[in-house]
Amino acid sequence: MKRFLKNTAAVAVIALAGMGAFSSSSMAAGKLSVSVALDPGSWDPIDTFLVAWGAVGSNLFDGLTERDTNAKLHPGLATSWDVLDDGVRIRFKLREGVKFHNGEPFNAEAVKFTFDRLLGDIGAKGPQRANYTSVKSVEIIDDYTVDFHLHQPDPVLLTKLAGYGAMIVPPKYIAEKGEDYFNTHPVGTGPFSFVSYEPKVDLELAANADYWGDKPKVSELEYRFISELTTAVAELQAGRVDIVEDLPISMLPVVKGDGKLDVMSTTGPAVYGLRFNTRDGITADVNVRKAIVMAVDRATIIKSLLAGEAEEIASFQSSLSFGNDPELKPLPYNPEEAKKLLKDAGVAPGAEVQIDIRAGNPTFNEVVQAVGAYLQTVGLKAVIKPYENSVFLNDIVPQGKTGALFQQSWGGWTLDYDNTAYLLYHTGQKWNPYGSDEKLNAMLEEQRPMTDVAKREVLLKGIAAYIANDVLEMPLYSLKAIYGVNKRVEGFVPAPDNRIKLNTVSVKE
Amino acid sequence: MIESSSNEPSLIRVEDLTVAFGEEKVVENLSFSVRSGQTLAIVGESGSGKSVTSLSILRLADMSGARYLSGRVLFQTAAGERDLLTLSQQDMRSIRGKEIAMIFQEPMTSLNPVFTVGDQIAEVLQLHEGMSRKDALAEGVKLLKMVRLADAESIIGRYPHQLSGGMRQRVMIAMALACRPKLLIADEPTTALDVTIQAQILAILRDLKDSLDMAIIFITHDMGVVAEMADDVVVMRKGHKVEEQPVDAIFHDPQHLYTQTLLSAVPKLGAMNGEDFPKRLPVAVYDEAGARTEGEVRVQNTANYGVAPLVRVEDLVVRFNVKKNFLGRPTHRVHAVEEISLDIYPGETLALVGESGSGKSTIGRTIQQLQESQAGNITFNGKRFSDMGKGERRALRKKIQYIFQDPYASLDPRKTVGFSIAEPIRTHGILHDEGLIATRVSELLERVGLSASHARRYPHEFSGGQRQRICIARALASDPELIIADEALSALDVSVQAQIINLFMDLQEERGLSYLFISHDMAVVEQISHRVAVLYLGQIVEFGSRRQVFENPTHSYTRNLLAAVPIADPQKRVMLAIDDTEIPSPIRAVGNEPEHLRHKEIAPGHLVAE
Amino acid sequence: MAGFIVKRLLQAIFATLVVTLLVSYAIRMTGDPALMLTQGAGSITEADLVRIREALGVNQPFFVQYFGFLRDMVTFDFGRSFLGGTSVAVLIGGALPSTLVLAFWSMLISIAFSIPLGITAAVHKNKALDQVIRVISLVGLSFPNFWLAIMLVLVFSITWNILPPSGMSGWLSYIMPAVTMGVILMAVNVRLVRTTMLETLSSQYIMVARAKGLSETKVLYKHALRNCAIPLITYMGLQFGGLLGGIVVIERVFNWPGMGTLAFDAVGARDYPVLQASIMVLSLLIIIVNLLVDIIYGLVDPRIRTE
Repeated sequence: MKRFLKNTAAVAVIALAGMGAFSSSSMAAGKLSVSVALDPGSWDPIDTFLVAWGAVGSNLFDGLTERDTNAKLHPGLATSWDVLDDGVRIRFKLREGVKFHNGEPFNAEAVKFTFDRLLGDIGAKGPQRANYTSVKSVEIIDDYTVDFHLHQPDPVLLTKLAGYGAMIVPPKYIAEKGEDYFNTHPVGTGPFSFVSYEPKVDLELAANADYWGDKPKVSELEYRFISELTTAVAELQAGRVDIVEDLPISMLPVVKGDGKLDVMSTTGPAVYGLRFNTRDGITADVNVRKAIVMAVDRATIIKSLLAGEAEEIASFQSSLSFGNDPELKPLPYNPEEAKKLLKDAGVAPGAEVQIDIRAGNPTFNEVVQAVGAYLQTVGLKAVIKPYENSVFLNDIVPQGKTGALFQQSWGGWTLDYDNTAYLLYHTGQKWNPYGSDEKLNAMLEEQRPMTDVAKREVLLKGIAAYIANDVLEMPLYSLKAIYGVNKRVEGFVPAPDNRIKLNTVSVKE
Repeated sequence: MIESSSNEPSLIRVEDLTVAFGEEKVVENLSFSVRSGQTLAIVGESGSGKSVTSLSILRLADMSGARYLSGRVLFQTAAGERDLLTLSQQDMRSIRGKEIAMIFQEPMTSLNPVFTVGDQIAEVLQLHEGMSRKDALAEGVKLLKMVRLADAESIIGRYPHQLSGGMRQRVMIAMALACRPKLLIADEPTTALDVTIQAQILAILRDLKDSLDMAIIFITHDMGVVAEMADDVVVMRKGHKVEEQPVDAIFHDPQHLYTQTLLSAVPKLGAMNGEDFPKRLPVAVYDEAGARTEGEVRVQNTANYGVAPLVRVEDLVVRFNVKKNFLGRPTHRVHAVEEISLDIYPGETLALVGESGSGKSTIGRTIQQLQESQAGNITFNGKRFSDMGKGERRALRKKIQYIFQDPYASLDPRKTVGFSIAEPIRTHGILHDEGLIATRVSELLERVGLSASHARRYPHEFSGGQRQRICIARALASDPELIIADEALSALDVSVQAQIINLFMDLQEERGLSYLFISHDMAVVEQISHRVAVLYLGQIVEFGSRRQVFENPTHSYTRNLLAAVPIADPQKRVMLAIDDTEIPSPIRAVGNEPEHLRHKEIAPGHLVAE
Repeated sequence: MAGFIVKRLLQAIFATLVVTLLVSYAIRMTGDPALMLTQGAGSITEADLVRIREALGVNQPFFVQYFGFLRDMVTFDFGRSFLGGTSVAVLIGGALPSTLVLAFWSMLISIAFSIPLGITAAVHKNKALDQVIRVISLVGLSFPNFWLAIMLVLVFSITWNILPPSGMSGWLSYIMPAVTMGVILMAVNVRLVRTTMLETLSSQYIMVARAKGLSETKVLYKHALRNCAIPLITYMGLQFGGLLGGIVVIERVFNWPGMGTLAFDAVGARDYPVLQASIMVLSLLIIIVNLLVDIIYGLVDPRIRTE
């Protein structure tokens, strides 16, 4: 009963807050409800890497830069920037007249505070700092100009400034209310401002009528935490949630079959593939690896198992990724050639090929079953071995204890091939248990400090081609980001990484 | 036909009553009548239909699905004569408890455990007499005093579990008589009670019948109780009335062969006077082929006192903790066995007699190693239990077998009897070859009077007597030297009981078996045992040969016990001076140790507590 | 009685210690919270992980961590969630009432239906009515609870759209979770009531009550039911543990913000403080309920009360 009263009271508060927002902005109307899989527990930008946070954070906070749904960078709270001193200093001109939701002004002070906090003691407790360690210090030039001093050039930094830990926070508010209060009562400069938060239940936001960018079109934005996707879809069908992220392939028919709902998808950052044990066994032979790749009809897998909601890839990155070469084509599906290659390599028919995968992803599991069936057709016997996640990630891959093939899935939000390639192919890296190639190491090291974007892109494409030529892996597909959306929602553009800014979205009543 | 000693009409007349459950007729064409102030005993063995008759009168048999195929039950209600079989349940409810009341066999389960005695008595008065609860409770105290419960004011507020069996049965009687019914039906009201308590209850019923001028229908299997209580007797067998006579005539001039058989099967206390040894007697049998006697008379001189005893019990003490304080220390103990010493010789039957709480079963269980003792020694074949290793003790289980009162509960209902009999053979590894085991099981079944083909059947397919035979076969399977028979005959009908007694004796003759025979039935003990130990509160009050104890009972408790046994002869009906004392409880506070009795040998081998 | 309660409380504390010890140890076997926290990050180095582990306090040996947890519990400091640093006390304070309310309604639904149904079945033993009730109960038993939940959602939320498919908002949202849980408990309880009722009805004191001339209603609801209550209460106390187990599934399907959801999410995120505290609270809860059952038991059964 007490609980009920509390809820009733909360509803009343929200209603009042909504009315307040309504009166201050004649444009904004209606309520948009989004389901989020997990409650991050804290809304402080430096506390989490959860995509759930990213989805919400983009609407509460702004970064200096902003990335659109095509993964292109735009000005955010910084109107312009110049890369200086061979890439170790970046000067940002800041947007003027922007206010935090509490009325506190946004200026150079806030930027310096944000990064001092991120790189200092408070940031050290959280996971975000690691992404920004190239920043040495932030220097205030004037109220609306700051210089970022870097330890070494960081080509991905501008992208990273568009999200997560680099979101700008209000210095006075945090100083007055304290860190704990800020966790559960976030204040930013974003298109929506905080109204209420009930852990594990929901987060309520209201339109920020003073937003510097496109003014929000809905007056209320609610994020509901629903961990079970079937439940989220039920809520979507019942019309109590407008947007569900990360729809699994298996739920697509349900959503597509409902006249009130749409499925919207776009190329996402998540890529899936199988990597080879290049050190031992038959897969140490490049021709065998080639044969295995050619034995699998990846296009058919995408069409029949993934409902077309994926794209074929030639290297371990999605088409959005910086460094992706559309000219690089995957090895063709050719079982006859595969058989011949295997025969020439002296692989006996019926040879066993073990494929290690992570348990708990039914879609990928089906894909691997199909891969196994294809291998059967060229005379290889596939044995699929699923592992519990943490065992797989800690004990199997880094220790080099995998079978001939093992699962590799990656979903870096920075969408830069370097992020993936360095960790996967450089000698001594955790995710590179088998390979050690001096030439490849040199190529990876060379592009890292490079600030010339065009030149770096050429080098990254070269790396991808080199790896494809050596057939270090069987790239399978990049999975689209799939959303279930109620048809009353207008202006929704699916984003590759869940970080959808909802200020341009409106709802039909 | 009952001779009409007055012109008063019968209170209840049952005419041509036939009761069926499903297709099976359990009572057929039964007629009898009872007048006020008279007691009619309905006697019969299990399956005779006597209990169904009583439940049919009250129409309670309806709840179990009984159908009345013929007959009338004419009862003089307050509103005139009614045929109870034609009344609705609604109408019956105003008669039940008000004009006809009933008491049942099991006093332990007849009272609802969650309500106080007072609530349960008051309920009847509130229902039928329209009394207030307060008045009903006050009346309840009077009723309790009427059944001679000394502390009525305190008992009225107690719960059934706080009372002994005898007290509960008195409460039941008080409750049944609350509305001064014209007819009381008593279904085996004393069967579950100790003999001295039984004598008290019978006396109370007799007195109240006279003072309230009511009629009693007394249902029993016990001819001794019939002789004590009845004016008239109806003998039933398999649903039919076989004979109806005044009580004297039934005992002295039984007309029907079945009645004669039944009477001859009843062990009569004192029947063995003048005999030194137990005696195997012929068994009267009545079945479809008619009545006859089977077997021979044989003196059972099997005990061998010239050798060392098979079992020697010395100063045995067994106590159980029953109450603990919250530190887990015991505050109260049951002093089940207090310094008991006795010997059992090869070929001997030693009987332990006594009432509830006397410790007789505990001694048996301790010898069988089902119970730990606190002090004393038990020696088997010259070796002390305490000196034996684990393996030796386990092997001993083979030599000592136990037979319980309830043969049904001691057989696994999901196993064939052949499997149950073979179990000790397998456990003790006596035989390994399945063929040999099967042969042995067949031999055993035949030895106890069953056939080899019975091995494949399940316990529920057998009668109570047959099941007890199966238990005996199982006990014999491991070729024991001692069999402990704990009330092994108590649940059996008298005719079956006589047969099993003879089986016990035959086996003893053949195999030189020793028996520890635990029983509360003095007449059976008199027939079967070589020596007798009378137990009272965990101690031996009298010990001696069968003849010494039964012909010269010396301790006052032994005398009371014998005097309380109803004698199956209405002419020897003795009106006992009722001793309303309860059997004291063997539970004592820690520190309050009982005094140990000292014994005097009044004749060679005859010990009496001082 | 006081001694009995003290003894039971000591047992309870011991049981809770064992449960939390096992759970704390097991969860540490299955994964590193630092890895879970940084799984979305691109360039995490081993040094970063070490730093985060230190900040979370999970770099110390297991027993140091566990005794730290115990020490904090004694001082009523429930710690902070690894996920966002929310106070665990606040999380549990929010989740526990939700679970208790759901458990209460589930129990109530189950009792309200199972007692009359069970008695009816027992009274009409082996007749048509009994068969029907037994079949209903069997069907109820054979439903996996999540399946029943999904069916209810399909019918009431999606097809008819009259009940919210998930969440805890207003009394309408209580209906489906409580009914799902209640139906499953009911199915078990109907059989239990029927069996104990049959056993009680065959007792001699029932025959005695009838021989007194009491009406069937009084015989059933006064004399029989009171005696049935004793095994029923015991069983329902034991059932409470299972009920909480079932609630974890139900809460997840209905996105109910209770202890089940809290513990489940905590396992997923390797959020040790939240997991340890919720397991401790749940096991204490089970123990408290069983203690209450023992006390109620004494009130119902004079054989225990007057010992």
